[in-house]
Amino acid sequence: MSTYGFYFDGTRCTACKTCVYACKDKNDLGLGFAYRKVFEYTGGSTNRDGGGAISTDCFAYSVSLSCNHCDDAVCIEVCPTAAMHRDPETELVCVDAKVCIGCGYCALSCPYRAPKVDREKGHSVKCDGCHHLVKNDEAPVCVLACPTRALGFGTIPDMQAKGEQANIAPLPTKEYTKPNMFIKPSKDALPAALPAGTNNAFIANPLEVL
Amino acid sequence: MEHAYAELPLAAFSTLASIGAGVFVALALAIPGGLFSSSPEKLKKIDRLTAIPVLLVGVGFIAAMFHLATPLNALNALNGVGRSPLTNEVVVGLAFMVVALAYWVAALTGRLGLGVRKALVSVLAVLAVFFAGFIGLAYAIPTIPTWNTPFAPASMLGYCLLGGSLFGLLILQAADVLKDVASGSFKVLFVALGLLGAAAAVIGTLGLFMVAGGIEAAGHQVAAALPWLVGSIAGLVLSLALAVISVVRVPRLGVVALGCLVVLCSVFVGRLVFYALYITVGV
Ligand code: SF4
Repeated sequence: MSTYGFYFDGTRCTACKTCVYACKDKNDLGLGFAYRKVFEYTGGSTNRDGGGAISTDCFAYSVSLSCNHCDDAVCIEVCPTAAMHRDPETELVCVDAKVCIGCGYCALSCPYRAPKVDREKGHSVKCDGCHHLVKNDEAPVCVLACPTRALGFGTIPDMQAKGEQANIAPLPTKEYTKPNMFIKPSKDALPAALPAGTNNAFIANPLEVL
Repeated sequence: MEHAYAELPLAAFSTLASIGAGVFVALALAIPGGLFSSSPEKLKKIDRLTAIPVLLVGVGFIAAMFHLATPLNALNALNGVGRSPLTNEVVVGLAFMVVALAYWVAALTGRLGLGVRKALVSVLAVLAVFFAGFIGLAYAIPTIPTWNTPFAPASMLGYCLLGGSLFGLLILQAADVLKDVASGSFKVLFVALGLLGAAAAVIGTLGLFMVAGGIEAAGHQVAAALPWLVGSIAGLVLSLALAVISVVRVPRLGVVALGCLVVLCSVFVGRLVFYALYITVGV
């Protein structure tokens, strides 16, 4: 069980990605690495009927996503070295760089693509919830940087009071890992288990996030 | 197939290790036929040729090291005993490797009595089956529906038995003992082993295809892998045919060697397909 979690307000996010770059800046991440990513999810179509009337079911919304420090963290489960662990003080999921062998099982298993092996550093890297800031009663930098206050961070009951456990597309359904990310969805948001016949929904910025 | 190319070292490991391990299953089957009661020169040849499976598994492990970002810490992989499916695989694999090396060195230096030989080869045969199974089970990750099925260990077991039977034949034929041991019961058992291996490998591959095919979002991934998948299955069947011909009809080293090459390639392609069909429940 985690002590802390993130909150994401889909009605406020403009996909400006300030959170992404604040995180990259703080963690000194180069090309190819981002601990926080903003998924732009879109789809639908615009059609003209026989009478000439035009209708549309187009939609677009964004989800800012980092590690969700899940209650059932599959990365911890599969890690052969126990390098993937919970910080004893904050319970945030962290990598012990000295122990990690960079096998990448955590990266394969995470349905949010949070961990990634940095072969140059020789170990897996991911969002650690800025746990050293959290220990000083400060919020993670992504949360501090967001200009629209779309991100939040705090104890699970506080986050639960603001939103629903993450269960919107393109994320997996919450049952798999029990993510500690709580969302206030935008009006367009689709459920994680896409209803049949969902109109060609897709991630519009794959190069940026996948 | 992009994901397959990213996992080339693992594809090489799972191919070489499972086939190399499976050789001991084939050798164990030849024991009742008098494998180890051959003339001293032939016995020596068998022992020298046992370098083949030992090397296959050894090179497999080395290939796996290339997959790691910090190979020097590889032994940390033992920290997750009982929890991490990957650790379980490594533990069983290391156990197999240690016994196989001990057997081989002792046999080469002429320090193995007949009874111990038979016992060790039988133990290695059992360990081999577990090793191959555990390689498949290492992929039982709940967030990866295409891997988290019984088809993954099934195909690994199949590769182990089929590949092992061909390379086993290679040793028997090269040591010139195949015609001595290939009596009635050996023939039947051996053909059964090959059939079982090929069936498990083909069912495992088709099962993977079925599960992946059911995931709508993965359509292009599955389509890209399909020709490779068909090629792998064709190769598996061809290698089985070559094995059966060699046991039932006149054995020829060239035919057996061809079978070994075909099985090696088709298992490797099968493994590439497996990694290519990495599909998660998430983004
Ligand atoms: S890459 Fe490191 S943290 Fe991830 S599973 Fe492997 S050993 Fe564990």
